[in-house]
Amino acid sequence: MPRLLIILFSPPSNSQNVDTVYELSKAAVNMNHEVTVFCDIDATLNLLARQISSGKATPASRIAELIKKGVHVHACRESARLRGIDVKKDFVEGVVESSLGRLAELMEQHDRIVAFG
Amino acid sequence: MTESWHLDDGNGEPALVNRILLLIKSRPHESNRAAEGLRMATAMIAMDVLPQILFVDDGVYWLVKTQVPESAGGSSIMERLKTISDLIGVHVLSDSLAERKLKQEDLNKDYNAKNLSLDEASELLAQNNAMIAF
Repeated sequence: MPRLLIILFSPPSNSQNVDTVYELSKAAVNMNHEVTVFCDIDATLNLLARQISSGKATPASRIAELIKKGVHVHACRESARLRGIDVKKDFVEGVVESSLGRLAELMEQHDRIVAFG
Repeated sequence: MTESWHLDDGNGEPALVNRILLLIKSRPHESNRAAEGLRMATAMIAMDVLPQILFVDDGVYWLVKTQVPESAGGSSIMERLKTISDLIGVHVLSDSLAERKLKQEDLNKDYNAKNLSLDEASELLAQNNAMIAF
């Protein structure tokens, strides 16, 4: 199965990068690609569970939808910590606590890498 | 995607899957983006995934010897950058230096940045499978 790694740096509501990552990931999964999204620096702010609001598409709700579709979503632990995020409690369910070291491994394990931000 | 990336390199060893170019284009006092790029480079080196690094546009200011980013609340990356340059070397785009009236002697010699022309930078880009800009 082809593997796509997407690295996201953008925070919510600052650009269309989150929307692009959402649409790209969804399309790739529909084409039977394995997709991993790694959220670094301000992109960790896209993962806050409290930003999910019923009936409204928010970056967090879109991330939750991607996770349900089988996308692996990783968050840089240090980036989150520096932004006051509790990685054990604050993230959308299914987000993987990760690190830049793990990202380096992911880079080797994936076939294509794209970065947004 | 080509499965061949996962085949062995002819010596029975797994081939290196991806070659990554980290492009530093943000100036020192602009944001933490470039510092994050160098943090990523450090993590990659620690995991034996050796990136290449190219400073372009305002990113070349990181290499100027009088830069003290921490004086404006920025991250100090001098030691990190020195270590990275010792381990894997760094490149700088000559055109970006020229556009900013910077000369080789303006750069911190500790980083030993290799000057690249636009053609050489294009070649460097082509040698890598992925590029991440900071």
